[in-house]
Amino acid sequence: MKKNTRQLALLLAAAAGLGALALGQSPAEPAPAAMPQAAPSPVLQMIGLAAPSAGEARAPVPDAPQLTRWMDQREFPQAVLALQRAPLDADTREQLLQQLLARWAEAAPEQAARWTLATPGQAHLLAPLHDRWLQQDPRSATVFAGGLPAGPQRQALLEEGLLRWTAQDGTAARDWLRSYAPQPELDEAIARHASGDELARNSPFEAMDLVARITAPDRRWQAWQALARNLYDIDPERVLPLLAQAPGLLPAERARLLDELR
Amino acid sequence: MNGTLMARRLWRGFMGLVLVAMAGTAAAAPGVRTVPSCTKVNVSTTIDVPAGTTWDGVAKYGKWVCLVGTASNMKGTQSESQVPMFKLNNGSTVKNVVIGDGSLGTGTNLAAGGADGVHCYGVCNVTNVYWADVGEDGATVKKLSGVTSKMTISGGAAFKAADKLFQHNSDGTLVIQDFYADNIGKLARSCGNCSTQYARKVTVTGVRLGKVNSAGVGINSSYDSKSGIAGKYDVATITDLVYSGSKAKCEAFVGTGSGNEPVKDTNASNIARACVFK
Repeated sequence: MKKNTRQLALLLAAAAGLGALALGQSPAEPAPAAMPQAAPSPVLQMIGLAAPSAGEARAPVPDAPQLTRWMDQREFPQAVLALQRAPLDADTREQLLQQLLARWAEAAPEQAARWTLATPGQAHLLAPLHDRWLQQDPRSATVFAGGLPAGPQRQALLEEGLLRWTAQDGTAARDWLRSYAPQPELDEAIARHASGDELARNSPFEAMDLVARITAPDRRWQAWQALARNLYDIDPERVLPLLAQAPGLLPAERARLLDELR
Repeated sequence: MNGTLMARRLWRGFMGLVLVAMAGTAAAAPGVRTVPSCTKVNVSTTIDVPAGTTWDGVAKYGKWVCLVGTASNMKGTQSESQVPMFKLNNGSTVKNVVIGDGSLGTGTNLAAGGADGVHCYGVCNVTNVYWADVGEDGATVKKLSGVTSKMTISGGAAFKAADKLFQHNSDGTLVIQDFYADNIGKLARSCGNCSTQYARKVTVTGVRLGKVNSAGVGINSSYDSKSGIAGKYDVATITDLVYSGSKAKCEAFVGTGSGNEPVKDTNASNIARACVFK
């Protein structure tokens, strides 16, 4: 992720450079880390990235090398808070923030997620962090989402996690699902995965087992209909023998499904 | 029955109702998604995925890769002569991969190696695929003789499409679910002037759109006499499409035959039967 770091440094340097032009001054050389008493540069003061004045209860704010150092030293919270304070234009700030979040999610995703939840005003960062986390480790990201307090946020992140985990490592995700008792909040993700063509084609028994775990009767029935349709499209001859082994499917329901296919 | 027991039972009943209500809620559209960090892999010819098989980028390479077309007809320009990155044969799946190089800029006319995306013949699944920079098209449904087409786009995201993202040129259904797209022309378009026309279906469920430059879904709410299927019409069923911009979520045209240009359909009842919001 050195590339991300370089991009971040370049963007910050660009922001600082633009600020200097606006002031009619050359960009100041960033002060070395070994000179803590050095006066903050006018450019950094202008864009709000200078050290706080006495009495201000906030983390020190970075110049470009400082930000890079913080990322290398995994001091991400300071970097995020400093960026949020800096009076950059919205696009630049968002671009920098996304890169910081990407780097943080790669280095310490759970710490990052917990920080967003524990730090006032930062909860909105959980979703983009979770998005990055899911790309590299969908299992941990999904399990984390499952541990959140019940509510819309948990539901959204859990569903997103399961959909992406089942895509990236379906076997492991299904094992995890089977390790829990059926739960309503897992219904939608299970239904989508189990009624998909790929699982029906490659592992029809697993698909049927999953559909049987859906707790809401209406959603379960919709999933049976979709799965039966997929099985029929794949091989009409196999539908009856497969559905005959479907767990929890009553003979009358099986007959109804077959009727609907004709 | 004592008061404590009754209160407990009432509470259980209430929680049961809450759980049932939650379970009955349709899946929400995903949040904003980003392209996974990926390692570039150069591709010089179309990847042909055999019928009934799965091509899984993460399983194949052990990490996320971005496939970048290097041949002149895979650069991902708007030239119609572009060949696809993937040819999906009946019953095949492509999953967990990034198509195109997203690092070249923010424009929609970059030669970013996305080629002509994915071509689907018959029944195909495109799962958790990211288009970092869409080329000519993101994915196209093509006719396979004897098979009713169904292409399911599930999960993933797409960025920087100069024109339409998903193109439906065959019969059958194009399903787009659990998807995010930003800076695109149209999310999907049913062919307005293919040489053989069909009454098509487009199903959009749980999709979030960022910047849209033209429209959400473009369908043919009627077909003229040159189409060969006059009297028929497409149906777009749209559920949980999150989009706050000013472009139409569903745009209706009069489908026509090859060599003619489809015009907007202004008949309100045609539009109402073809653009179905649930």
